[in-house]
Amino acid sequence: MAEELRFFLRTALYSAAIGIIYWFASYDAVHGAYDWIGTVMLAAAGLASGAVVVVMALFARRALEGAPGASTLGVVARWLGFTDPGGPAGQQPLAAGLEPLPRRSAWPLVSSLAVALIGLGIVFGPWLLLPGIVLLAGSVWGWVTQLQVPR
Amino acid sequence: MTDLAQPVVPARPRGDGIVAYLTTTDHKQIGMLYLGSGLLFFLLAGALALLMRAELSTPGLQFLDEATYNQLFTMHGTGMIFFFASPVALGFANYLIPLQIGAPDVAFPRLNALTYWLFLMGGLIAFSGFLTISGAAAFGWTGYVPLSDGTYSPGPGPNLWIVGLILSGTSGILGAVNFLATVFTMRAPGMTMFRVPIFTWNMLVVSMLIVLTFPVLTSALVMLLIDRTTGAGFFDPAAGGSPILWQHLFWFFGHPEVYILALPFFGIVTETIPVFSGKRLFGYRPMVFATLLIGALSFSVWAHHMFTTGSVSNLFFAITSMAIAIPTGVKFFNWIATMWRGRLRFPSPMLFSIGFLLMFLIGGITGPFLASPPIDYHVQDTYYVVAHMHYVLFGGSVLAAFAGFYFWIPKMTGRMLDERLGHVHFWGLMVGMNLTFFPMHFLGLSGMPRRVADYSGPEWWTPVNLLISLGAVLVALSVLAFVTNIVINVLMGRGREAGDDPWGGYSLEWATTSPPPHHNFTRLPPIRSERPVWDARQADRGVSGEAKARKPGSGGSDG
Repeated sequence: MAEELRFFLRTALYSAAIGIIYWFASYDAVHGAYDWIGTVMLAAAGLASGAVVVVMALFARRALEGAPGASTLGVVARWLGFTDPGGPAGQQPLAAGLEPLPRRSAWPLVSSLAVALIGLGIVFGPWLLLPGIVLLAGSVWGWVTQLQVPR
Repeated sequence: MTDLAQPVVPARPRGDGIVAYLTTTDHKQIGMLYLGSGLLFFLLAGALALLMRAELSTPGLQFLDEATYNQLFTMHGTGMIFFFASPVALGFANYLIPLQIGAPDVAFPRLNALTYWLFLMGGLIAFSGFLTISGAAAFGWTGYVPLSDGTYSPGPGPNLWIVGLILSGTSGILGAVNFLATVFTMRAPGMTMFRVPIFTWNMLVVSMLIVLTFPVLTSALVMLLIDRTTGAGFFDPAAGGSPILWQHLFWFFGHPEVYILALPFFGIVTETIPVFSGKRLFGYRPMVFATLLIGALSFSVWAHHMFTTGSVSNLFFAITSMAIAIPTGVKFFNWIATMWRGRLRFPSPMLFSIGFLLMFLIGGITGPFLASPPIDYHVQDTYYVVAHMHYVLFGGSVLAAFAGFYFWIPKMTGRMLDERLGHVHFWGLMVGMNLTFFPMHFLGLSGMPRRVADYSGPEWWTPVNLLISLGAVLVALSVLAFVTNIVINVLMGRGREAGDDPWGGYSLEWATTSPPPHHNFTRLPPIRSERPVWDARQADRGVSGEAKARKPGSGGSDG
């Protein structure tokens, strides 16, 4: 867990840092204005990455509960990469091949056809849009019910 | 191979019929679907380029009008970037990532299938604009407003282009999430992050770039579609919107996209060069950090495409754009150092890899000139930009893609491609692309504008344009040699059998059969470095892989 956390956290920190630098660098002395568009995009990239970190951190805290060094400070230190990422939640990827693979499925193809119909419907009219929505609902139903069948 | 461990789930029959491909959730079949479809879009977009070059071979309008020419260059760029280079990279990633990390499949196999079908639908819808009365989109692959708004580009063709790109963008986002989850959670025991092969590392960074930038493009396309269909004014100054907003949104996606198109192919040559140099990759960790740095910097360079708008900080974007040359230079150094004093072999994958180094270098050198605002003002929208872009994307991505095809097709199909046809393909492509793209630098510097069906200028432009068109024909003929190679040796099954490891590969995909079984591996070798198959081979010969790798002068780094 530590690796993906650190990956996203560093992305968030980098985006925030470059966003701050860009904010100041974008100052236009003639108009006395900063560039909001680029700053907002960089901030959004940082926030999106940070949101992933927060979600994963919740799982990480649960996984680390009761383990040595499970204090909040210890967890943060590991995320930042200041300590060995080993431990109960680190360096132990899922063992390959122990989980059965999913069976064949036509639903991805049918779903994409439905989405394509909806897209064409937006361009050409409801006579394509409505069948697309019905097909999409059917394909989602088929997809979900197939997931419930034991593999 | 000794010391094989970790028995994995037994193989399940796969099936290769049409229905099997339509309903597959196997990452290998989905990867091959991506690669096959990408090649078909390459041929289609290439045919559009030939039409353009035929028109430009002499001044004046020959057989195309301006409107049709505009559609051709728009769909050529769209096809090559969104429906050839991206899907080919994703195709290799689909096929190789689970194999290289020792996993049985990607994290979300059904979602993976959905990404392919969404991409295909997107491509078909975007190109279906040619079937409408008003024709396909005709505003360039960058879709700048106001050119792409409802006033200047009426009709359904542009809307189809937008919908097609929204679908393919959504496909890319879902695929990237899948790759991130796969690399982070499905590595085989022993496959630590610093033992992950460079191709997979590069795809990890590319996936992150996709996740952060494709939503921006997709959002911008939705806004443009709303502008066009409802009369909203996101990009209309009269309604309080801003055309510059489109450029910001597009290039916030568009420049990372350049690295989304380059990094996978950097990864391919980083896999091939050590194998055909008979050496360990020089500087594995610096290669990883260079990839990370390129990915990070690519976020802060988007507006170097907007120097001439006068609305951006030219200094900031010039500095960050030029800084990307540093990690790229590290990669070049490491590739050359890997070959240095190696036992070099020159089969087709290595030829294309070396071709990539030479051609991408030209594209890389012309890049910093464009990153310099005073020069950029001079050559903006000229053939200099066309030359630079094609040395990066054709000389870089396409050559490396062909290196990947020659390298891994034996693994994917169990059949070797013909080396003589491979050499014909390589030399034809090298001569043809240089005839085509190198003179464009001079046309651009002398002011010939891009995206025009007719031109008038100095007399020497005419023979140079004819030479460029002849070069394009040579490129097409060389690609024909590749297609012939595929048809004869793979589709007709006449190629000699490849065996499991025809090249003496290093990473895990070479530890399984060609083609691999449904679950990829029946056994895995122990993973103690970034090249476990090489280690296992050395162990077979009675040499400790670790000890050998750490010998002075081996160019190795810690695994």
